[in-house]
Amino acid sequence: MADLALQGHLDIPAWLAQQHEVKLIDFNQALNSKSHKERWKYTKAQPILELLKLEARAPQVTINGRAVTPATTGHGSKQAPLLANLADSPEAYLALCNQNLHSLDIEHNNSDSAPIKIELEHTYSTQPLVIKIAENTTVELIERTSTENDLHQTLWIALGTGSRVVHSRNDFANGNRWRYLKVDIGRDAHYNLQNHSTGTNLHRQDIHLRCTAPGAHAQISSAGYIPKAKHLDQQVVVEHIAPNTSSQQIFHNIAQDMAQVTFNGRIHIHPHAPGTVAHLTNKNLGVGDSATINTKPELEIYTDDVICSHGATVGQLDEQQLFYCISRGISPLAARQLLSQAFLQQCTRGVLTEEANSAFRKLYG
Amino acid sequence: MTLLQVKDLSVSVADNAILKGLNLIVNPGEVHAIMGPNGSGKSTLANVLAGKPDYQVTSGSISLNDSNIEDLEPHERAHAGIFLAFQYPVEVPGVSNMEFLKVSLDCLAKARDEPQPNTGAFLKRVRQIAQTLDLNPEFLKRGVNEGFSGGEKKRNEILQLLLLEPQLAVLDETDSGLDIDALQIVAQGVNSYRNENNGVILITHYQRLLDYIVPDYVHVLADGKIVQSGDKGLAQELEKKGYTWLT
Repeated sequence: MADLALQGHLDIPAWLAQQHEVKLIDFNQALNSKSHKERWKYTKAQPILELLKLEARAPQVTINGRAVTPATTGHGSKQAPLLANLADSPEAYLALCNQNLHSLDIEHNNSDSAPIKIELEHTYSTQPLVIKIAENTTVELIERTSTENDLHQTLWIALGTGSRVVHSRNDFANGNRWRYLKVDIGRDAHYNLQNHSTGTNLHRQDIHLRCTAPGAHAQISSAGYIPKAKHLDQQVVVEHIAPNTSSQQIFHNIAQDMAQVTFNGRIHIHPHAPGTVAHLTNKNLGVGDSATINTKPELEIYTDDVICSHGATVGQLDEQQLFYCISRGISPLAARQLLSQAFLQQCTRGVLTEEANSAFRKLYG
Repeated sequence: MTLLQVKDLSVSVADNAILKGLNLIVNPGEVHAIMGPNGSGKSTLANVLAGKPDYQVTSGSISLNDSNIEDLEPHERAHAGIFLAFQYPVEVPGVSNMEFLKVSLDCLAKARDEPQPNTGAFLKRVRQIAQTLDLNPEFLKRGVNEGFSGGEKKRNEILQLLLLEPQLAVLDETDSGLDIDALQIVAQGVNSYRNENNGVILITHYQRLLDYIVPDYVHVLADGKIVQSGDKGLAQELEKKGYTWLT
């Protein structure tokens, strides 16, 4: 067990230590797995681990405009999402499993009524929050991060049969970030993530969606602008575990001078999951000198009868489009801003769109 | 005052000489049709007037309203009054037509030190022009030329022309890909743009367009030079004889 790379940096909780014969072996395997190494190929793990040591408090939540206190499920709980994270994110597991977990059970709303509106305002690091959505329930989940303080945040969402969740999140403040999102999507449930963010000195987003039953559908549209010398690392896994599930992902990022962008997106189709339809697109624009863009879309398919596509592009603003704009009297700078805005607007969606577009416009300068 | 004067203009693209001493004068109120075989330099002339990068002026001069414009950037040429209707209008996904038009108009107004147009009046004007060009108002909400048919793209170019009201319109094969009905609509648009203060350079392969937009002069461009000039009758002669008798 000597090669447990993280052991010196994090405290192992008592309950885990009691079973370390099993768990440490699992840890070792996870830490030495190819996928784990790939996840940390371009962003060093150590600064993130330091970030995870920040004191975390209970999340601030409102439901339909009223503040609520999520139930605390205790310390060292073996509940999801942490156990499920071991293989995918062992460092998160180790760091967060000694935090208090909080849970929200969202009950079924009348189908005629408006969606249940859940708002999360992040102004500090939060202890993991589990949101369980009941069957046939419609939810609008809005997350804003407005603090420039460094923070880490873990959110796990479980969608019951036939439920619908539109999840919008904006993060444009200039603090270091580690955000872990895990979503389990049940039978005939639809989950739609609208993710808008900027780069910071260190900004890591782990997104892990799992279509766990037939009819589950996952959708992500994500727009990111990474200013000069800033960083954004997006690690995305969409798993299709059951037959006849679908997913659609589109990520657009713009990298300024000396910015560093990493996108690692994997569609994982398990055995016995025929009828899967999954698409992933990642497009990147470098709009300055010396921007670094690493992108790796991946397909991991263990069944037949699936429809999948994945693709990535890295390029610059289209010269023909630029000339077209400029020939109409638009200055080169304004034309670049217009085209950058257009590129990101293809991925800005939902109730936070205006806020996001406004934040992006400020970043274009 | 001469609107446009092109004097002994030679232009190269990637060290290939395309225009070889071209001369052309356009006065206010005139329509000049430029015809010629493929590869003669017609589109090069259009692009070099608009200031497209990669076109190197090796000798000669271009003046607009008696001011030299060779050193002007493309947007500065637009500010000075030049408009190029593209042979292949570019799609700009994510930028709505309406937004594009507003930004263009605002930039032109700012450069000319004029007040920015009132938004209400702007919207009304755009919809009015769209109607005259038989363009569905829904097109105005869509990305610039995004998913438009060839004919819709050309009509969209004319919409921009009518809204931006430049002094010199350079129409690069605006008739290509148009059916008869669309051709007439585009021609009506160009004719409604014409007045005694502006000028049109109409680049075309076919005499048909000139039935609807009657030019004051017709020029034949061959091997980078204007080799023949005349009135509308020259276009009819070309239709019968082709270009070989001139080249």
